[in-house]
Amino acid sequence: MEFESMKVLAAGICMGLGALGPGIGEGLIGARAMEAMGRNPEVSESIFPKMIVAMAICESTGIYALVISLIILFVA
Amino acid sequence: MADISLQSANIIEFGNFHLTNAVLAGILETVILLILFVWVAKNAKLIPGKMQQVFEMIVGVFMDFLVNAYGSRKRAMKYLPFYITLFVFLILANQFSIIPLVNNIVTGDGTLLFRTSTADFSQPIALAILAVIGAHIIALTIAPIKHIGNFIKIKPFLAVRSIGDFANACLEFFLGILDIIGEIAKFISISARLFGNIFAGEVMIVVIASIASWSSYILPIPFMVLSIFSGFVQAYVFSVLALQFTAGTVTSVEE
Repeated sequence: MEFESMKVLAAGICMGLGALGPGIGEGLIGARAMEAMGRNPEVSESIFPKMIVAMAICESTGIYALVISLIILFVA
Repeated sequence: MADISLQSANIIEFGNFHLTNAVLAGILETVILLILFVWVAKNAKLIPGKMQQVFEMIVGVFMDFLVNAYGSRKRAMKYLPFYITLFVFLILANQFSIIPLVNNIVTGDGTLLFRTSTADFSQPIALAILAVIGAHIIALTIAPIKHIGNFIKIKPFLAVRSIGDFANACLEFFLGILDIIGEIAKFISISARLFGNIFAGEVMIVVIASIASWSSYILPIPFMVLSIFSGFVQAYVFSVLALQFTAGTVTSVEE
């Protein structure tokens, strides 16, 4: 295979596999947050910002995969 | 495909020094924030006007978090200026290309004059170096020997009484060396998170707008909303994580 097609394939596989983990993780965070809000509706506006921050941190491994695939496409 | 490039375009070059459009945007933001803060602080009254209320709200929200992380209000006040500057700078820097006329100013050969400064990898990594090395320097000025002793653990070797103790001491020494590698991972993690979110937002909008000639009118709007929201969240997460690094090192040194 030529180099250009290998590059494109590598970028696609990298981002595709890297998006599996954060998808599962953020779904779990959302599910537990929903459960907590359902049990105790009075604290729900205190749980929501914390859930957003936890999701942003959980997303970071997906972002690392994105950065690597962008480097593969545009720099190497 | 329209031009997506990881490198920012050079505007001025003197010799080896290149002034890129991301750096120009960063300088402009710094000047805007400086003028704004100095003006609000000079006209501060006991009954606040509108601008002062906005700033007091930002300081209040951030102060709660600082007091939580540091334990006492006195210590939080000592470290407040650095982290809140980081927070407000990032709020402005992440949204810079939403400001109406910024994306239309072009130089002579068609390159943009301003580019979102956190979308060029040099800006997040500069801020990350500042935050992490700042945390270590603060800990070193408080108690240098204790801070170095947290990483290179020699004390267990001096209290060895048996073979089991010796094995324990070797394990603790090895874990201390691993902690040093963990510190290096901190640089990459906070800078890559900020850079990836902001750059991905821009790439998404360019890709959507270049699918067809009619798709640049209504279609990018949900992606722009997502990008604005994620800009605010990433500013908050970056400054809160930088604050946690300092809080971690300072509390482990001051006990």
